[in-house]
Amino acid sequence: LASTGVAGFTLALMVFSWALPGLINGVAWRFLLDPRGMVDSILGLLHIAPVYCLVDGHLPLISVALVNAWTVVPFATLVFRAGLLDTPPEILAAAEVDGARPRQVLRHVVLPLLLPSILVLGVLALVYAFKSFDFIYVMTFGGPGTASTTLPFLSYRLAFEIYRYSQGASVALITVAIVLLLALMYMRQVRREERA
Amino acid sequence: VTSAPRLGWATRAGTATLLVIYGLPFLWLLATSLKTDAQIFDRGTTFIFEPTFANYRSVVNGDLLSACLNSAIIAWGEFLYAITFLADPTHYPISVLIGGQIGMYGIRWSNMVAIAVAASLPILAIYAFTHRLLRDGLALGSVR
Repeated sequence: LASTGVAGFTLALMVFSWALPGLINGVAWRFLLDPRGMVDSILGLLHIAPVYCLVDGHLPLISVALVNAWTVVPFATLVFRAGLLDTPPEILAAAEVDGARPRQVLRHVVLPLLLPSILVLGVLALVYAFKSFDFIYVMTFGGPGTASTTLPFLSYRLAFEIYRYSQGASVALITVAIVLLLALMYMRQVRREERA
Repeated sequence: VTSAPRLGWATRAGTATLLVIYGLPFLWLLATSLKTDAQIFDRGTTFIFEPTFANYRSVVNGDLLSACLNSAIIAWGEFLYAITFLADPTHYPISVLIGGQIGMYGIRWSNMVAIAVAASLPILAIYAFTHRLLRDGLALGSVR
């Protein structure tokens, strides 16, 4: 599958979506999810109650998180693709000879082999989530209220919207400490992989 | 009136410096790739690596271009540093124009989408010719 045209095209499309500035991706998603956007308009035409993804309860935070996750997909795909292509074929053949079903091969052979990559990817995705400023700015501006305000966005609003620089700096420092911790975890995992 | 242009240049220089600092991890990646490739060649029995710039350039040509392309794309889409540090709105990058279409009483959808499309075109043009390098750059660890 890795060498087929469909896989190549899909990969190219995904990397292009990654290459677009976050703000443009955010605009596209806001266009879809806004109360007057495409999703709710189509639901209205079908006489279904609108979802109000960007204004109702916890949905704004979930929506922004999902959009953020969507942008990590290209990088995750590349990492998993590399991991899958690196899987020794003789191990897969041995599992097949031993009578393992495809699901068992996935659970007991492929996933353990991919575990280091999954851990690294998990840490990187978390770090990336801390940087998701553009999406929040364009999709919800941290609202409604503070429903989708993340630490970096809170830091920005405190420092540059209401000019409480000390509070903004404090929040930024807490954010840096958390990201630093994640970075240390990432480096440790990478070193483990290098030793293996 | 006379100090405004100076301030503009200072804030632009400051923002550019911040972007360079932001790009330091990519330089680190580049340095690592230089070291790794040189060591690999050094171990070879038939080829003795000479640490000249031309040899380095030939060894890391792909990585260098990938890192440059990724950095260019990051700089093109930069938003937070621009709205925070640039004092003169005439120096704002195109991404800030997109954010500026969201007003207190509504969104100028047509303007916003038109600017978003215009901002995407250079990325599309770069991508059409260099998508493999970009993919490699992304795999190299260039997480934005």
